[in-house]
Amino acid sequence: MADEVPTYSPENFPNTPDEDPFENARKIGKTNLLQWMEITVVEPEKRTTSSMKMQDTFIVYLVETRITDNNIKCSGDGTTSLWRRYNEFELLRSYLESIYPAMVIPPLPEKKASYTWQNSATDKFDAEFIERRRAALEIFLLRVAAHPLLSQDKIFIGFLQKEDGWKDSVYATDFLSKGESRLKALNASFRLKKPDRRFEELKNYGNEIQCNIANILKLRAKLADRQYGIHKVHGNFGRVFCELSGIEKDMVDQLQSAGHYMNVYSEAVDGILEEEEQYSDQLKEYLAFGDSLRAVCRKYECIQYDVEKVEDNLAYKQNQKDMLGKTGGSFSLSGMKKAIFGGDTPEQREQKIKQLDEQIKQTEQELQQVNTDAQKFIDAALRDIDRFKRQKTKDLKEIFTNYAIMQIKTCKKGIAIWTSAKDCFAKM
Amino acid sequence: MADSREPPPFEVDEGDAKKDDDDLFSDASEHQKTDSVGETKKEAEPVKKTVPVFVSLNDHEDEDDDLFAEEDVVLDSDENEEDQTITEKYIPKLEEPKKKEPTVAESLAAVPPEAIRPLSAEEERPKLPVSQSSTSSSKITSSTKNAEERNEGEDDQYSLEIMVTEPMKVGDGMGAYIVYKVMTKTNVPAFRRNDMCVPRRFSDFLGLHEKLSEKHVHQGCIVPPAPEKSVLGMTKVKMSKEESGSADFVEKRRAALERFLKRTAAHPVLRMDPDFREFLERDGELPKSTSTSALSGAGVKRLLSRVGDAVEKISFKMDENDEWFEDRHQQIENLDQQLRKLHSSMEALSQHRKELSQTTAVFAKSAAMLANAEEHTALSRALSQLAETEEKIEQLHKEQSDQDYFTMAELLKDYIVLIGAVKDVLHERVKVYKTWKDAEATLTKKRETKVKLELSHKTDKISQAQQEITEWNHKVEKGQADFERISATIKKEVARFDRLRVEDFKKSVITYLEHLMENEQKLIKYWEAFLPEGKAII
Repeated sequence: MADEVPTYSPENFPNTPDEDPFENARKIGKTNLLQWMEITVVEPEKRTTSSMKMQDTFIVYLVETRITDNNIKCSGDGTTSLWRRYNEFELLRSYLESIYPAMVIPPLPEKKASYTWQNSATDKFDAEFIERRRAALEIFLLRVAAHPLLSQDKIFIGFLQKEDGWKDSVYATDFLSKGESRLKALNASFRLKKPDRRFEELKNYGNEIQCNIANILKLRAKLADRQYGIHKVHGNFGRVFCELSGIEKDMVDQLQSAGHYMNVYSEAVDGILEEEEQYSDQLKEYLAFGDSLRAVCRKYECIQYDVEKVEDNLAYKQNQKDMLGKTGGSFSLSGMKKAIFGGDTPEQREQKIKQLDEQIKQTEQELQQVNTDAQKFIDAALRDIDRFKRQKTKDLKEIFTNYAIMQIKTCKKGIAIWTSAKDCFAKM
Repeated sequence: MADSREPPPFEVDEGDAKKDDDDLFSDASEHQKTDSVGETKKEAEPVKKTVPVFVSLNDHEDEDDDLFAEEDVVLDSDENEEDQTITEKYIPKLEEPKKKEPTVAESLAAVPPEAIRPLSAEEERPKLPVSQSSTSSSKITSSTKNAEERNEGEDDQYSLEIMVTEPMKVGDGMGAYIVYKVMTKTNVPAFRRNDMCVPRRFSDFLGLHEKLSEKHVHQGCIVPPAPEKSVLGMTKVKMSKEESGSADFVEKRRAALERFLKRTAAHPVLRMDPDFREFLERDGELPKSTSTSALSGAGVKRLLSRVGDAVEKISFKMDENDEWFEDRHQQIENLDQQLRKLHSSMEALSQHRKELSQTTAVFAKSAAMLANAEEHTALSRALSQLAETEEKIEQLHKEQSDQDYFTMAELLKDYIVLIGAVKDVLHERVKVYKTWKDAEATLTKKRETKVKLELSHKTDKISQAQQEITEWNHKVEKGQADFERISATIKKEVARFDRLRVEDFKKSVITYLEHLMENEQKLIKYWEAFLPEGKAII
């Protein structure tokens, strides 16, 4: 169920089977797209369409792919490029989420800028914001392409390569109906009798990292504010020094160069904070991953709920059968009923029992089916979660090392500036 | 530094020179052997122009080399009392005139310009020492320590070190106040003891400042300003049960009081003031200076006089014929503005840093929580390391912010107030000018009256008018003399202030920058310690 790949008519796809690079790649054993294809989100562009008296301005991003492995035959030169806008990315992701509920789907960049500080971009159309979004979209595509299962999805491939009619093809899959409703999931999470401990833990983990990372991001915004403030104050110093140099006749040069260094220091903060912004973006991605994890848990709960429902059903039916099988005996409601209304005739009972037997057999089969499904789901999910964790560790390690290095660089730069400023002052 | 000084001008006019000598002491450096920090203070008070009286008055170890080539100043405090405001003169240390140039060079190099060289014949010699001082390296080395004082035009062997310590709360409730211990270490002979320690409270300091201002501002001296009264701060102190209630405020005040005393001690005129001396050495408590309280009669009088002053400033425009004053006035105004801007920037900086440190602390805690949530041990460990690093950084930031504040911001504030004092002094000068011009105007009027009387032949009133004219003539002359005196004093004072200011600032800024750099180094160390942990995540 979860691993079914929807099939579509071949005319949607330009490549003939022979020249279909994806087939070829699979033949030579490539497990994911990234191993032989390069995907880039190159640049953004502003487009305006007027429709129905309303002007709609939006940004489109150029998505390019290029086949990097020479062993793969394909038609044409192996490159494609098309324009996509943000809501198409969103569509792709919703599709992937409902079709592959066992997988941890990589998150998209946020719709609106959050955890902003004084000087950061908040407007959707601000150049910095757009640039960061472009980078995040690229990372999204790369993550999906690196996933062994998701990268083989035809819709995903269509997203990369086929501009026209892609949207229609997505809707044609009717993926919306395959998704589980939130309400059912909520219901399930409360009614679960024997939830798998692993998923419980995972849910907790997802919650916790969301909480913590949210805190960290908030704090980071405050810290950035402060840093910005400090550096800008130094800009004030620079100005004052320059003005002082007009007054103090005998120290003009030194004051001016001191003022110059203050200005350099204050301007350095922009670069620093931009870099920090990158790390904060990466943290935000992990925050959003928390969401994906929780989605997997939700799906699990629904499945488990289904299993338990069927089990309950079975148990009930068994019980009923037992009840019918018993003659007379203990005091029970049905016994009372029998006494008042007269019991069933033996033939009726026989019939009921046969019916129940059949139902029980059916339910047992159902149970088996559901169980296997559930098991498949659990296996796939756990495998993917494992993969996610490994990826995450690698990512976080990168983030932290880079952050530390950046801090060190900043300090060194600060020292350089202060040394020169000190020299200026010493010469006075 | 000594070489940069101009050779002392050899003034012939004793009278004027005397007046100019107000705040200069002849420098006669102690011989290097003694290596004393302070130096003898000598008043090269010109006694008589013509006769070189060579009297050697050595109150210190006599060394043949101690020279003061030909002068002699047999001075006694009384002699100099005449029309000097300096009440203490130190007996100059003299020696037989010896042509030991090197030492002479030293001693004479510091001779104040107005020191009178008794004989023209000897007028040559002082010149030599000045130029020779550059050649005598030994002198120079010993004098490096006192280079600063020398710049002021005085070398004194007397050191006056003051410390304000141990603020203690005395009393309870609204009647409580803080007592500080003022410790002085000195070898100035005018003080009764070398080591003193007296308790003083804030109103004592204010009282001292009052007295000094009354006496000296009229002469054109820039009196260092005392820290302000702060009702809010003091009520907090009075109301708080424990000592640490308003430790910041008390600490700031203590530092400010210490700076006030140090600046006064560094001022050549003010340090001689008997009131100052009494403040430092009189045991026990000083008589309560109630005139400093805000609500007393004297306080109200002060307030009114300030209002009067302000009105005067606006109404009376002095026609400035000395462009030096024009320039300086303008300069001071600009400087004031700039310093204010700097000060507010500094405060903002300190505030930011404090908040930065607070936020970093919270950040560290969040990182620690995140570390708890992670099951992967290396990641978790790295995260807790991150938390620890951030904690250390927070400490660092907090210290830096304190430093920012205490070193730079307070200094700036001090100087802003000092500039206010400079402006006051300039204003005094304007007042003197006004008095002078008023006197002139009255004199002209009196003359006119006299002429009118003469024309109308009212002979009896003429003599009276004549008397009045003579009287006012005196006043005019005195006014003019006053004015010129105060102008000259102010010039010296402002020059000294300039020098001090540049030195002070340079020192503080350099210290501040060095601290900044140290902190950055420490930051680097912390992050480098974290790096291997981060890399170790597998």
